Amino acid sequence: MSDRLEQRVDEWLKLTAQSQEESVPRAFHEALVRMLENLPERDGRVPVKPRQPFSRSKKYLLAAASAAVIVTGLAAGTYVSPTFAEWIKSFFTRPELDKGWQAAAQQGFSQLPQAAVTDQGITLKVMEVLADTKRLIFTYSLEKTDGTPLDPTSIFQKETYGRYTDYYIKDRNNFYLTDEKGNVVSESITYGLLSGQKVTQSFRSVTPHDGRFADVSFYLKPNVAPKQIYLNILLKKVDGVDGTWSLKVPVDLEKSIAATMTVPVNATYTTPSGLVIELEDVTYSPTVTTFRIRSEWTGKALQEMRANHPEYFVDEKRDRLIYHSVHYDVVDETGKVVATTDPAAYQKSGGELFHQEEIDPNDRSRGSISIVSQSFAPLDRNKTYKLVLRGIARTERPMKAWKVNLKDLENQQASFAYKDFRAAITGIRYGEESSILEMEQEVTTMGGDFEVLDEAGNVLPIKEEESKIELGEPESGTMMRRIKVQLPVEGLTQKTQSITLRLRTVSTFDRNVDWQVEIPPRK
Amino acid sequence: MDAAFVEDAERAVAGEKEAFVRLVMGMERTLYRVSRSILKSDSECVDAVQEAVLNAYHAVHTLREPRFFKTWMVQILMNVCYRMAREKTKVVLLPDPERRETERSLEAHVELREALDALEEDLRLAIELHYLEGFTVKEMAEILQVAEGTIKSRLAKARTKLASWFLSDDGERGWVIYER
Repeated sequence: MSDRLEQRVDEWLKLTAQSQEESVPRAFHEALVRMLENLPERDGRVPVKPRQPFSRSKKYLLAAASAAVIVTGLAAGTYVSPTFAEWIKSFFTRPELDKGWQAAAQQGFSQLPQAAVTDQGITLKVMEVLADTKRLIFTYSLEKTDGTPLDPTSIFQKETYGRYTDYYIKDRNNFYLTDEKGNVVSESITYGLLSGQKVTQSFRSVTPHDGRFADVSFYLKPNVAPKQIYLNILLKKVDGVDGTWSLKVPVDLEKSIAATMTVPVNATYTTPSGLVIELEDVTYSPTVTTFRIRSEWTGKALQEMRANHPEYFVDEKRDRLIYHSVHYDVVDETGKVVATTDPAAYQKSGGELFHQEEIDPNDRSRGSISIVSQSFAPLDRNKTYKLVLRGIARTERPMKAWKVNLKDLENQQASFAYKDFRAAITGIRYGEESSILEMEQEVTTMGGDFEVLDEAGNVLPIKEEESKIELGEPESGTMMRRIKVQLPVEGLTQKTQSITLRLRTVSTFDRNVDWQVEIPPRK
Repeated sequence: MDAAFVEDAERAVAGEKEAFVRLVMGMERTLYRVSRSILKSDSECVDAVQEAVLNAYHAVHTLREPRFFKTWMVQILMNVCYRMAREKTKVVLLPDPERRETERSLEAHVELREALDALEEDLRLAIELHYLEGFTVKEMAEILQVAEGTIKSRLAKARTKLASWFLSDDGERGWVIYER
């Protein structure tokens, strides 16, 4: 019998004992109450001081006891305690998590560190961890010493968008992953919050469940595969209480490394626009299947770009003009899409087609070469799939300009278009020294970047920190989305007669492609 | 320990009947679970608890440390239960309809109860006292009059047996078991 299973039994017994208010049989209860009612008064009773504020009579006491039992009985009837089967299976097989976590958990890749630290009467427990070389997830709880659970998400600041809630660090609480030497191996991202605050954090998602647990997930940096990593947690404030809850939990990756295999593909295609795309290999890991794709503009395409926009090739390694992303679907033998880079499709799939992208850290040193690893829910290793190229998203610099007579806006909105990009000025809210330009756009991926010029040709500064953008949901298959933008423009006032909008950069989607490549199953 | 419990225990030792009643009512589930872990039917549990509570009521003034009331009460109850169990060994027990009804109304607890019933008495008692009643290993050693090491050993053995019990039926239950 494994220690792990015995640990599971121990945890389940504790949880069951905590969560269940087992009532006694009614006959037992009634017999006990009757018996207590009929206890004889004792002789030689010792006088004691009156208990304040207690003044209940015996009948009241017993009636209250009966009521308590009935209420408890009702509670026991409605509370659904986890069965041992539910408990013993991993936290990460829950359907609200993506298919990758579920698949890895079902194959037994989770670990039970049972790590805990207590300070100020509050205990932080790490219940379960699952990791491979791509990502890590763990479940934790917070509870008082008497077992009362605390909201595990109380240690984060939250921002809610519709039905989604995002979690960000606060109170110097922190989470990150390190290797044996102490190097941070979790990828960090900096987020701009609605409050204007910027936070940098390692974890990608927080998923609360059952009111007393929460999962936190991380992405590991590319090309980092130590045999052991450490989950570092340092909390400085929990439930409004200052303290120190520090845990360093070792996570063994050897088993998941052994279950990981990379299958070379090395299939190449050149788009009519001059982008050479190579599917280098496919890596099957416990939580994801990863496609490694290399792409590079041909010399001819680069020459054309340089000829058209020499001013943007001062530093080729940094120029966004050559940035692009390859978009594709992965279909099974029946033609069903099982993975995609289409954000609309994977958002709507509820975790079924999730997509994670890692840009090779050496990418920038390679000039026009892009190497990305894109991960999806694990594919069946024994089946054959096809990668079907859908198109190339890229950044262009059209530098197109449109003059707008502001008085005309009173009668009709001003519209502009470049390829798939559409924009319209829908209104101006005038201020004394600056005004807000309201625009609606139909864009590919992230849209375009405008400059606003006055009648004399001067660029009017835009207060970026005060600009607002409302992103609509991306449309499935087209890569298009609608956005609303509010641009605060300095120097734009009611005295301004006309402005010129200059489209500096814009995202476009090149659908002129035709490539399918078979993905070999794992041997 | 809850201050109100200690105060009631002191009052009960001093002779206050209402305090004694409050203590016993507060332990109702404990009394049921402990008796049920030794005896085979609810009606036997009623008999055992009534006898034990009466014994305790008459002897409570002898309790030197009121804060140990719960441990003391459980000890008395267990002595009664063991005696009754010994007396009943020659009697063929019929299925208890009361118990079946109880189980039906307590679906959430049936699985645990079934698992515990599959254990030997000393192991079942160890699980009941430790997990369900919250007694520490030290307190259990006092109640059961055995060494703490024995209690630890029984708990470990019980957990292993429970795991085996669950695993033996996994096909029917559809469990997902992960062995590492």
